[in-house]
Amino acid sequence: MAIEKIQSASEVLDTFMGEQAQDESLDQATIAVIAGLRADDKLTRTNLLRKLDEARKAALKDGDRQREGKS
Amino acid sequence: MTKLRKLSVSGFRGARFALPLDFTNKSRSLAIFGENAAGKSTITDALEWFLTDRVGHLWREDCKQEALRHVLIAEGDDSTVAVEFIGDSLAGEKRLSSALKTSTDLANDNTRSIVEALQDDRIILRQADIVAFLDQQKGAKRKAIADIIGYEEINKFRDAIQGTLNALKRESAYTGAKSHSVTLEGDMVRDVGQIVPDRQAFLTIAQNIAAPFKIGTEITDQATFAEAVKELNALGNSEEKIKKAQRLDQLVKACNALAAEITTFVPDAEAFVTSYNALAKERESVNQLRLSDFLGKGHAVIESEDYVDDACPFCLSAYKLGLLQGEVAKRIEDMSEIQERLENAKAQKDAVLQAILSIGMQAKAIGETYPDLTGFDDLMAATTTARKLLRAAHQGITAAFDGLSVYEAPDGFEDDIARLQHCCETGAAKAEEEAGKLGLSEQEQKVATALSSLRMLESQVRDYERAQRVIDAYEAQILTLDAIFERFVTVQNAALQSVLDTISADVGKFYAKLHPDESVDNVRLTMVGEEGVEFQYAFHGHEVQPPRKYLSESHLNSLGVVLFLANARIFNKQAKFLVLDDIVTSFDTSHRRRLLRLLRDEFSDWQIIILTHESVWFEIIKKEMAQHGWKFHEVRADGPNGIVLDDSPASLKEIIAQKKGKDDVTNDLRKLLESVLKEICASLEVKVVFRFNEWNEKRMADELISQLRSALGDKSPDLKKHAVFSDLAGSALVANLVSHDNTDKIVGEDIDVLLEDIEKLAALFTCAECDRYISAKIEVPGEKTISCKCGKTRIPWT
Repeated sequence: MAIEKIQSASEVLDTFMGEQAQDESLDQATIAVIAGLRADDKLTRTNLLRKLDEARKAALKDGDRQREGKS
Repeated sequence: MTKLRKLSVSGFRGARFALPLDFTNKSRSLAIFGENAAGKSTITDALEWFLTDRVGHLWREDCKQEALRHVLIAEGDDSTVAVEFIGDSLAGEKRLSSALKTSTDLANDNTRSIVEALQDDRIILRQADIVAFLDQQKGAKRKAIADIIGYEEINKFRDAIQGTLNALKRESAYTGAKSHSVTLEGDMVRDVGQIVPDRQAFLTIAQNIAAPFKIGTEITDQATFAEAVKELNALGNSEEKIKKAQRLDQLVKACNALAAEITTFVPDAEAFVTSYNALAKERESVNQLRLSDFLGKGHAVIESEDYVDDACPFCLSAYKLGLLQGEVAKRIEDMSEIQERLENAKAQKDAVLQAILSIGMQAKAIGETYPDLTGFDDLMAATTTARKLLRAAHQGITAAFDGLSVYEAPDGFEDDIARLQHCCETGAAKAEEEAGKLGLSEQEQKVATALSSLRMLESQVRDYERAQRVIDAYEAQILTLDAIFERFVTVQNAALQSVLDTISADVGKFYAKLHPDESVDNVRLTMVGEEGVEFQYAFHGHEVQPPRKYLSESHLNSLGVVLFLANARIFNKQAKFLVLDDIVTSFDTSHRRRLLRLLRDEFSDWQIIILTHESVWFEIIKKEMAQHGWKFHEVRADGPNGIVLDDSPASLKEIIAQKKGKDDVTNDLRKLLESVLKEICASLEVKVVFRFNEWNEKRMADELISQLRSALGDKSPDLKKHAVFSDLAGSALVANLVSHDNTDKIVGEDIDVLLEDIEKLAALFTCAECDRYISAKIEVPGEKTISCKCGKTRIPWT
């Protein structure tokens, strides 16, 4: 029986998330949020929506700050 | 891996008093028989509760801890389940107090880690689990399989990404920013003939607007823009008057825009409310849309050339096919009309909600930008009142549509919206009048208009940039989640298929053992559609799925059983014991025997606990598995005393041993001798006189001995002379036997002598190694002998 060939769920997800983290076409802040929640075993829809909301607000604030700096 | 040594239940479910199960130090397998409602499932429930803190089938019905305590247990007594595993001091006890508090006492850390590991294994299979699994749709099967094989984390990940993605796309901040952005683009095209995407583009246009006034400053950046505005303001006689004229001009534009939007909004809203409410009153019809997929697929089936039965393919009731085709087609047509109306109503609703948001934002802008202007109090009050009602209307429409209920506008909504429109119209006229009173020169008028345009455009660009930033922030996340989800489905399916392939090897093998020589083969689990899992098999050489297509109830049951067994063998990390609770209800006798042989051959090193309410099945298990060291118990309900557990002798020899000295065992001895003779005669293919039906079974020992000796005379003459035949023929059991109702009792030492003779007879034709009878079918090549299955025991056979 080739049981050893079967990847565990964690292995599948680790490999997958590792590949996404290398993909520059993706929003890496979003990838980081997902990876962080996964590491804390808190990856749920509600938690992810909250963290993404925080990430958007932070990104908007940064953008505002940069614009203010320019003007 | 872990097996059970003891399980003891008390005050739990059907067991009022102690119900001890001793699997012995050899962790023997066990079969338990109990009539329906005797309480045998108490044992399964107890084990499940001990390991997982819950009993799935009870919890699903919202019957929790209170359902676990025996109804007559004393108030101060705890319900207890104690388990002892094979190993050094691996034991624990779980208690449930009358206050329904659970406490667990585990002997040591080793026990704790074993119990934790057992929680991840699949140990118990009930008939209801099989039915539920087979009835699940493909997507739900994928989830169930993923749970079974420990892929819950993958399900969780997938669901979190998909749920978040869908929620993000619907978030009002995102949809609002998109619609606001579209509105602003329209406004900019109207005002300056193009979309002005950012501040830099705005400065270029500002320079174009300022250029005719020949001011000294060229607008290239924020500082020169501020300087240019100052210069423009200074072009007239009164900077203050120009500023006021500019604001009044902006107010005129804002009021006109809002009034125009309300003019469009009112009939659109009325049209939506009329068509939507008509639909909401046909709620039942709309709810029927849930069946449209089902009916569509059913329609395809009954319209196909292959389907010719005059029966509904779903419930199998007799029905004229032509009539059924017509009725289903009519229902689908009715549904498509309702579907179209629902889709139209949704589009209308989205447009109305959009308009409400837009009107609200414009009213807010007017109310917050011009509160200091005198003579516009009515307009300001109207914007405040309308905004409250607009908010209520937005919530009301969303809630009504989601719940498919009739929508009613907030009290006074229409009047207040009409008042706002009226105030906008009068406000614009008043602003124009006030601007006229300022007495601006032509040059000042042009400057005021230019400044007003610049301010308006500046505000539009600022809002547009802000909206774009919000959209960009959302879309970066949405596109990423979209890409992740799409890629993950591929990864998930590949990972799952690799697991399914592994399970399928055993599923197919086990299924073939249960159903050899049938038209079903290559049974396996496979991914279907985007994310589904389904059994697939070849039926008469043709690939088929789903399983219900051609398989009988018994075959479906087999699928559930073999999946459970394959999964346990591959994925159970800790448990080396399985509980099969009443799982063969739809199996016939031959398939039950095959299941036992499957367990015997493939799970010989596992501890199996079988519970059943069928006495025939229980007897088959005894007959097949007693020789493999199984134990047997019977449970019965003893009124208020709850469940009582009795040993159940596995063989006539055990029955005789139990009865000896207390009861008459003559009949049992006779049955034992007949049983041994029947096995030997069947195995050696001894010919006897033909008899019909049950008379064939009622052959007596003397006839069987005589025919056996006759056959041995031909094939193995030396064996015929063995003393055991004459001993048995001369024994009281055979010599005095004239019928099955013989009343001469065999007592005392005669019992032992006869048992010894019967054992000697059996030993002549049985292999001590493989415990099988020597068979006339197994001829040893090159020798004039026949052997048992393993070939180690032989007798001469010519």
